[in-house]
Amino acid sequence: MKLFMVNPEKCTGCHLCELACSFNKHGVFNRELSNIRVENDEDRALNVPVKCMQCDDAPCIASCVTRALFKDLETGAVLWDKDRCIRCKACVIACPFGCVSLVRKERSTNISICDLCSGQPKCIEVCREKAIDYVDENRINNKKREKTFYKVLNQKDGGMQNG
Amino acid sequence: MQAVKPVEILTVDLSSREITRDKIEDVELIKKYIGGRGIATYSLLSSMDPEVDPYSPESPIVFAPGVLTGTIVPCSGRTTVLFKSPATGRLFKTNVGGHFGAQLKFAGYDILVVKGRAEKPVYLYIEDDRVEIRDASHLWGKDVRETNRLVRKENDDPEVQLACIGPAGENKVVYASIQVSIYNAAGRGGGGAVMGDKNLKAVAAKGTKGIRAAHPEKFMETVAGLWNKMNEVSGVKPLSDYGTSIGIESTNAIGAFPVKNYQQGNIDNVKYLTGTYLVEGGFLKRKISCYSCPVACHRFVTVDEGKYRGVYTGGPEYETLSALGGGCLSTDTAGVIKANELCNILGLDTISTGNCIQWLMECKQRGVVSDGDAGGLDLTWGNSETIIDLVGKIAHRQGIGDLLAKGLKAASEELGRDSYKWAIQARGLEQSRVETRSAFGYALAFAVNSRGPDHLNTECLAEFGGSPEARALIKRITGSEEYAYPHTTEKRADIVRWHEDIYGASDALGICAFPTTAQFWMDEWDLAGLFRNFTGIEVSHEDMMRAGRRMIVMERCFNAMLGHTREDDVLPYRLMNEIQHDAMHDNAINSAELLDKMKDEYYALHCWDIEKGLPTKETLCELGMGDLIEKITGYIELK
Repeated sequence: MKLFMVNPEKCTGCHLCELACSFNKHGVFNRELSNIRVENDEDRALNVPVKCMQCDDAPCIASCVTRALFKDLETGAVLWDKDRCIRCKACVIACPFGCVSLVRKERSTNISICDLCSGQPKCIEVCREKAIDYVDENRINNKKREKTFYKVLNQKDGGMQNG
Repeated sequence: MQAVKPVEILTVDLSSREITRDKIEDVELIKKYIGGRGIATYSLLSSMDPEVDPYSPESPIVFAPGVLTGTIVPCSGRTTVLFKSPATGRLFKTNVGGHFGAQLKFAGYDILVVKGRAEKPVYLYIEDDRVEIRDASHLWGKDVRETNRLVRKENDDPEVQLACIGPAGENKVVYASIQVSIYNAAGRGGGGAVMGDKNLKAVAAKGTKGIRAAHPEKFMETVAGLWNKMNEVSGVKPLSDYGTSIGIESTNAIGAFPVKNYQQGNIDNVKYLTGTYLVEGGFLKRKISCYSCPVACHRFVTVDEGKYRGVYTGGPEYETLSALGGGCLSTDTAGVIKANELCNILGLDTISTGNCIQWLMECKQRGVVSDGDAGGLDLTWGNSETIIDLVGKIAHRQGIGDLLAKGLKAASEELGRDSYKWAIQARGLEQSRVETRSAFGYALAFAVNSRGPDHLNTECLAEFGGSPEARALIKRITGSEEYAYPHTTEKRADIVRWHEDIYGASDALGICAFPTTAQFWMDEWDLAGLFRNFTGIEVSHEDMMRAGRRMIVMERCFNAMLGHTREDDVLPYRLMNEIQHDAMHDNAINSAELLDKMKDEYYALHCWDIEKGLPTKETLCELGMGDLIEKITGYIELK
């Protein structure tokens, strides 16, 4: 399985991920409709992308009395069944990250949660800094291990330029 | 063709507190002027009396995000700010990144015009259809950082974006900046002083409306094509990794880094002023993006040890490291960062501030001013503490700072004693940090620039031929790569005009000048494609360039109505009369003769009246601007 990784240290606050999301889901550029939001403190230039964490033990699913929310077994994303949903908004309250939102469309209200674009998240395609990435569970630590490996090696015999 | 999205104009009169909303729906007009800078300039030229005093209530200040600002187009987050400059007395276009323009667009406005003068300090609050003029007494006197914090707090909304002034703008320092997103500046020309005169502390914007493209699929295809080009060109990665100061070491090596108020072309220990050193010295903490920018050339730095421990700010950029560092003969990295922080939070343009300080230091060098005249400050070259002290004194107009706050033109006139000879200004604007005696394309561009001698109407970096993309562009413009050589007057007119055209088109679309004129991954075909697919209006790449040209022509006409002619297309005295030291080539001077040759060619290329350097009636008609002739000829004669 792949995991959605967020590295706030790398985020520069360009907000392109929000626009990619809102365009993909609604055909419009509007961060209010995005399932990923970049929170920022401009003074200290801090930017933190916030989105659904795909919790294993998801409070939103637990809060849903009509079973309108359920897990996509392939991606781990929380999916929403609009026919089962009674719009009680318990899931909005339950999410500790503020990542379940209400989207009003004409006369209906929809629940909006990141669905990982069925395994091909659009937001990561516009993140040049890779502050957000979608990586294979088994490969998450590969890069770090590789880096450490070369560090140790370089300390041992000084000359290696790799890594 | 489907109905075209109109240009939405919001006008706020601070005197009468009247708020009006207008639309421009004329497709032909939009095609001619594109939007943003283009339409804003057109509306000022056609409706404003150019002779009004920059500090009169009738003199408006206009905020115009680009057509594409708020969309996913890379590097499209920019906003034009237009006003009549208290420094130059001319029409002044500034352009700023940050996140303010996108919020204004999301609120539903393409152009915001503020006129009149409030009786007491106010700030303008815009949230979608809600537009309010609010009391700002509690913000007056506060710095930029604190103003942002307070406005966000009182609206309980960290996402509100501000364009605001600091104490320098309140005190009408003629080069007071408008600070956007705290660390981005519409820095040049004194827009901050104009806001200060209007008692306008800030414009706060927040929008929740979406933006739609006319042809979404094609639009996204064009955007995807740009990403591919961005990943291929050589210049993007170094700019992203090391920021705008990436070029300082090489500029210094060829003797073209303006040091000691343009008395030297290089400085020892230049490494401490480079983007590389910001990284290696541990100053760089994060990179910052403007809205929708994947490149992130802006820096966020902190000083963690020594005298200036605890200082933090956005920047420093190339211009700042040069103006407040090398130009003052200082290589004190932390000192420059401290001075940069002060400029950002007090609301000062770092270029003009640095140039004024350098001038004062040279006044001491030449025995015109003593340390005593400066209230006991040690005006020795390179003294960091003095530089930092002076920044504060300028913003608050204390002591000698009051003289410097008037700008180099007025200050050197007031001081007299030949000090104009080392006042690096022309037409009231301090020159930006380019050694034009080593780059003749820049020299021409700076001389004919409506703003004054700087690089922000025409960044013709390509003339150095510093990258394969730059050389290819020069070949495309001139027919041969051999003109990618800055020590010749040949073909400079062609190079400058091309850059002016694309700069105008980029500004109107809200696109940063770096992709079009520095790393070269967006060209006029790309701009036309974006505009076409976004608006649904059919335009060609030539239409885009002609639209850019109209902006140059309108600015020239506006200033001509105030008496500007070819005699005003000059450079600072030193650059025209003293040979550059440390230059790599002979004849490193921007003599009147050299400028005249290039000006003749430039006016001829534009089909202007060569004698006066002004557009003719025929030029205006050929560009489809015949409707402006009556207005212009009400002030001056046109051939």
